This record gives sequence, C-alpha cells and structure tokens, in this order.
Amino acid sequence: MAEPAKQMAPDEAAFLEDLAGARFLAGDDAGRWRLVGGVDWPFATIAVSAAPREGSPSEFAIRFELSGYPGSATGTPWHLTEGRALSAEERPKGGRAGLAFRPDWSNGLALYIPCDRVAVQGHGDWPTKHPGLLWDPAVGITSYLRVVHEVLHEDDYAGV
Amino acid sequence: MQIYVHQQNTELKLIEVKETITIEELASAHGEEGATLVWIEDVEEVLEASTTLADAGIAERSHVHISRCHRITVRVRFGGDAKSREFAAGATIARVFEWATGKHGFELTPSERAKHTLGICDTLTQPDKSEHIGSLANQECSVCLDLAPKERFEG
Repeated sequence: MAEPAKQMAPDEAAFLEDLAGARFLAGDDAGRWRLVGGVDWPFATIAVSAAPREGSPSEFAIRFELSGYPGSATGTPWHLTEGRALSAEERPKGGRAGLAFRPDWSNGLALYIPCDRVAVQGHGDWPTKHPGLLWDPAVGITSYLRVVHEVLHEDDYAGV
Repeated sequence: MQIYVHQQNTELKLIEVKETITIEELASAHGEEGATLVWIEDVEEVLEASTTLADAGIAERSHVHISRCHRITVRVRFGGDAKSREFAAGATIARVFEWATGKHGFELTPSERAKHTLGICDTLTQPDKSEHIGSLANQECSVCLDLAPKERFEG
C-alpha cells in the first residue's frame, strides 16, 4: 500500500514561497546570493557574495535553521565542502562583517546581527537600539540576506 | 520572458510578458491606476509608449519601473542641512546614495561615505540599495531621506 503523501508544514511552505518570490530571485539574478543545494527542512544553505579581497572567497555560505518561518531564522557561517561551521580563520574580518561573523559569539553557531533569532535573544536592547536591522517577517529571508550582503561589501571588510 | 516590475509603494513583482508588447501595453496591463510611464532601471529617459519591450532593450529578468510620476523629487537631510534633486522613478537607492555623498551632494570623504547609509525620514526604514526611488515616493512624487550613520551592532 502506498504511503500517504507527506503534507508540507506551513513554515516550510512559506519559505519555499519566498524562495520563488521576486525579492529572493532578484538578488539571485544580481549575483548577491544563491541557494546551495536543496532545502532539507528546517535547514537551507544560502551563499552570499562578498566584495573581492585578496586571498578571500567570493562568497560565504550560511546554513539557516528556519523552523517557524517566517517568524524568525538563525544562521551559521558554513563550510560547504566539509559541512561544518567556519573556523575563526575562515571567517570574514574587519568592520561590521567581522562583528557579524565573530567566532566567539554563541560558539560561532549564529551570526552576530540583530536579524538573527539567537543573536537578538541574547541582546534585549537590540530591538530598541537597532530596529532597522531586525528580522522582518513580511520580508522574510531576504531581510537577513540584505544585511549580510551589505556588511560583506563595506569598505572596511578586510577578507578572511 | 520574465521581467521585474517596480512600482510606487508596491511589492516588487516578477511577471511574464511577451517581448513583442509595447511599453503602453505593459503599463496598461501591469501598472497601477494612472501609471503610464515606464523606465529601465537607472536610465533617466522615459521609454516611448509605442516601442516594444524588445526594441526598448528590455531583456529577460530586466528591471523596469512603472509610475505616474514624471520625476521624483528627492530631498536628503544631513547634519542640519538638506539638498534636493529630481530623479527618474527607476533610479536605484544606490544611485541616489552616490549623488547624496558625491560632489553635488554632501561631498563625504571615502571614509565618511563608508560609514553612512540612507534611511527614510522620520522612520526606522533603511531601503535596500537595489530598491527604486519611485517605489518610496509619496502621492506628491517626492521622497525625504536621511543620510545617517550605519548602525554598529555591538554590546
């Protein structure tokens, strides 16, 4: 007897809808970010492009944990070929990029930015101090990707 | 083919169109009420209504802006001063930022420029640099922006 088809959870369906939406696709077309592989719910890996710096990669991957989407998300800087969190040496340095990818926050498992679920939980004052950088459920994953893309293209981003 | 359509206070859309339709037909089918003018992203000149998308140079996944505003008056505030300039509705925030921080704007040094961003006046919204200025315009076809320091999320 055939197994009944698995019903997709609302959070997964919402994420897939956003992946197919104009905001995400426009960033993908512009080379700002790309989905790497498929979605292994509640995980998805997205690589975000970085400004060219000598000896540094042209993009950094983030492995997102997306349960409850579009309510929130948290992302881990991710080594694509070895399937693990990036080491301190492999992370972006300098300016806000260095702050966002700091390895000493939450064991390096979450980005240190106000739109990250884990990071904002540890900073009760961020919602009032940085309201413009918070996760926006109406925008979804691109609200997070735009912040990461921006810090990786600032003049004081120094590469790895 | 598919193209991205930006409009005033409307979500970015990816629509399916034939490259043989005219600009007028595009605006009529996909524009908001009264929006008949079409621009290619970051191009100053409005497109001729009778031109086809193909002849206008609109290709797969191009970005266009449909608006009723002939020009968008942009006012940028910085350090107690303000400067204004008109832009085509399809000008990106990145282009407005270049003007606002350049020699015709507030002439920031490269170091100052790197530390600032544009935010919508009296709100907490910092538009993405890929957004079109026409998408942020009010009913009077104008936008007020603050050139503000970027937030450092420390502590």
